[in-house]
Amino acid sequence: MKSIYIIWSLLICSISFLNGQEKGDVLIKNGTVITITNGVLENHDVYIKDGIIKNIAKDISAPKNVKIIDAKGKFVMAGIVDAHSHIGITTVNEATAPNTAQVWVGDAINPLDVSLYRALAGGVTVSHAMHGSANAIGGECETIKHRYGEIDPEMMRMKDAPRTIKFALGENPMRVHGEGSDIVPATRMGVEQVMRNSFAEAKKYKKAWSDFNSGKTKKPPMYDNRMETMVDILEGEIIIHCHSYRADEILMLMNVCKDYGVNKLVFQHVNEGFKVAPELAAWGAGASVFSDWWAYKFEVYYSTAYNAAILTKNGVLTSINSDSQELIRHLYHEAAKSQKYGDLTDEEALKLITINPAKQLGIDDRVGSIEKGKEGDIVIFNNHPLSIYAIPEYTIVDGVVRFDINEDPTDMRVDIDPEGSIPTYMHTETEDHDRCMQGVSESHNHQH
Amino acid sequence: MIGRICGVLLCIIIALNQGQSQSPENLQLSKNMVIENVMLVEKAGLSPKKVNIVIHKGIIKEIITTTNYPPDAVVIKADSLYAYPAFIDAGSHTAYPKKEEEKQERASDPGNPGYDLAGVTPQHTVHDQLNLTDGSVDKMRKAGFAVSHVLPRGRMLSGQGSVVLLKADETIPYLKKDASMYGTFKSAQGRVFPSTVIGVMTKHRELFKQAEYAKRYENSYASSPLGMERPAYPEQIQALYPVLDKSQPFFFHAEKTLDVSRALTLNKDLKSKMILTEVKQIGPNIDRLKALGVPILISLDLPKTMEEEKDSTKVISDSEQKLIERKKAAIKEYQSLAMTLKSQSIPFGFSFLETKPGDLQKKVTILMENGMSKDDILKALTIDAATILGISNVTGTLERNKLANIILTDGEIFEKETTINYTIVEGKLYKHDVKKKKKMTGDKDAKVDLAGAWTATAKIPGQEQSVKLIFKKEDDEYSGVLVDDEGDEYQLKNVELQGNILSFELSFTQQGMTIDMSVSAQVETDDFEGTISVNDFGSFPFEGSRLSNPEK
Repeated sequence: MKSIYIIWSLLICSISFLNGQEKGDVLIKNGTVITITNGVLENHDVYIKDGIIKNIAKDISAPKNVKIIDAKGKFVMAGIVDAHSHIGITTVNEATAPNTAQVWVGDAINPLDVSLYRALAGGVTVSHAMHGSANAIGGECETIKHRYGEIDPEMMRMKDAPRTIKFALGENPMRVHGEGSDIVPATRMGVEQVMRNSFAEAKKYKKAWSDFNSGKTKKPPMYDNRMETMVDILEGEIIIHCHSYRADEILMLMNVCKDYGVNKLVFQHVNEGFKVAPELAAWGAGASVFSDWWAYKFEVYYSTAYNAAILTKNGVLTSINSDSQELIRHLYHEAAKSQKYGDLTDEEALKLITINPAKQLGIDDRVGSIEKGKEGDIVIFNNHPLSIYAIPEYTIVDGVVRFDINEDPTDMRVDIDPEGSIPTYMHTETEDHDRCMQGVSESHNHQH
Repeated sequence: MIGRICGVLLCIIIALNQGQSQSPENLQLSKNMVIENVMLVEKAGLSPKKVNIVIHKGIIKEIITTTNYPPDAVVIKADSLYAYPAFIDAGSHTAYPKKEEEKQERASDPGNPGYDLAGVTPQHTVHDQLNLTDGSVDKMRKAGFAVSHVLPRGRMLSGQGSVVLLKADETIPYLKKDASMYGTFKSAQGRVFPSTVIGVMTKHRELFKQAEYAKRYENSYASSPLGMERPAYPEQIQALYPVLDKSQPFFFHAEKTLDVSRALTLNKDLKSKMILTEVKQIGPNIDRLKALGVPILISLDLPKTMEEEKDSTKVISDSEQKLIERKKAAIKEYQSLAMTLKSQSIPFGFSFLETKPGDLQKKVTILMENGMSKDDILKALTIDAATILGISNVTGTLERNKLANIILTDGEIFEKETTINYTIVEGKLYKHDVKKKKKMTGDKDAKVDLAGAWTATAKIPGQEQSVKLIFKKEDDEYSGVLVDDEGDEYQLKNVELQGNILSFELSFTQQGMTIDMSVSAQVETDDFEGTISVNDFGSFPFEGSRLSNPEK
């Protein structure tokens, strides 16, 4: 009994130790440093001070009390960035209206979600926690840093990351609202119309407020959070990330955005992206794809494992995402698969899970590569990350080691509900691959 | 199949719900009342002193040691009794009976369901719903409460709470009408907006923003209406003005770590004066709470300490044991939340949204086991609650000119053996029926045979109800049925005879309400005597005698 108490209190201590600091110092010695943007540096050190990469060189010395990780024979890479996930939030879908631009999953951040720790074990340091795809215009998303161990939701936010919003095309919004509530959209045409109507309404709303603010009208328009967000999209303050599959609807949304002067657009899933790769490149839209996963529903019947490669070769800013708390644990394998199929270089393949998703989220000036002055988000692998034998051994966020394979206790929950039950079995929740549809009730949600 | 027994039980329940308030002893007999020779604890922390308390029209007129009081005064001889300030419930649904939610018609536009369906009813008050003869009022009084802060039931913006005295008067005895706004994270009913916490959060923000603009426009319209469009804002928006200017505190239901974090974020955005309510776990928010400088209400729904596994044959692995220890620690953290806040000088009170008043002593015991002194607890339940509710000028202590909200106990407060004999609410005396439980000693070695038919009678105030019981014995195990006077049979559960102590249970559902009864009785050869307890409504004498021997 006593020994158990000691172990337990040690565990608690280590967690509260993590709680105490958000930014740390660490010196990684003698690793093979995969910088992503500046080649591979053999036998180099990386020194992170106060959470920021201070130096990348040979034989760096650091103050005595700085934690040192010996990376001899190991591969040191920028932390993986996942441009599409739903972990670390308690709510995914507010599936009650075709346009719920007023909601924000940042209000539902859940630092207690152990998936965050599992993602760290897969080398992922930043993810884009997204609203689901139940609505044509879903809610604002939140770019989070996997500072697992913190309990305050505020600590999960990647402060000052650009705002993003989830849009969705195709079957999901059609099914939820058309079939589910018998309202527009019941068809792909309806989805387009929801978006056009929303932008048009936002323009009117903006005009009404500018008339009020200039004194032209006296009574203020009714404040509307949904329209506030729509106006911010029109003003270029928010990046659209749109759930999409078919080539025709991808072209459609590019046209809608062009018509309304919106130019920040990333397509998600985009399984038929390879068909319109030149058009995507010309428009300047990004694409975030799966390596080789499709045919899980009719509209995504047609795709190819060459998707990422074709998009890349056509000059589309491309990334590979997880959309899943399982896939997020081995995104480096997904990158490797894309390389295997499409003959990408190591650098091209690894960019798919680092700097490219960072660019799609507008955070490439801060993360996504190992460069001086960038944030200290690092993953250290035992093997080359594109090797099937690669295993992340350390994952560091802002200079704080958040995952260490040698100190990986069984129970990593950070907060215990005093009224909850004691877990009695391994959590083997049936993986809902389409977490995009989480929270949408069974009646109108056939899986995927 | 509605057996007569069920009907009778419903009668019991109804009778009990009306209970004390109609008993003649609870009537106010004179404008003057004296509690004579009582050990008075004037306020939490002071030691008792022997005095006479003179009460005039519900106010403590004087606290004296002489017998110089009005000749017409009703004198309560309180030689063996203690007087404490009656408790104040800082937040509950007392006197606000639960109503079945009406089935809503499907909204034609689920994204804009209108205020009511969305759960946005800040204009609601408790006025029309308050029922001070509701059973919940008597239960609170029995537990020692004289004042409740009644929060309306509802959803994200339920409406406005009021502070009331727990007595039935000709008019509702408000101490503070519309004292608060009550908000929650509860989503809308049915599949309409807001159906999730993200919807609720953004809706709160939007409504407050709308109210801010509306109020500003109303003000400018009021000063010069000429040529201006009439404001005409919905009452739901107008009802938020007092919360906006912080004149009405915003009680917000937030139980666990995440709720508290989110509520604090929301409060920052709304700039309201938020008082977190029914809190069970604060997580890492202690500094934020401290910085806010507002009190919080801890839920008194404290969980029991987990017991050690008694079955020594059961093997618990190390990893299981670790999980158990963490759960224990989480419970401990909740149990010591009050102490944590006290040590950080964060003012707190208790809310009772999920606590049965009858469990007060149990919960108090848990608080004491975790370091709270009796004085701390009394303080939290009286003057601190009064301060939070803004009524400390009239109640919370037993000083001269304050309300005569008093409990009289037969011993020091919060001692296990102490019972509350009287609750005085603004001078009105409520006597509680305190029968100390007779201890059933039983005889472990006695050999009695239960098998056969028995007639049994439950002695419920106002009526007696007889039923037939038939017990069977097979392989030393008893089973039994209850037969009501219409011949309907009910299977008894957990029939046990240990020595000569008989126990069994019976439960059934009646009009949506589950009724659980348990009987414990001492059996002599052909008679038994014991008690039957029904849900939380209490115990009643239960007697029986043998009709026949086992049917062969």
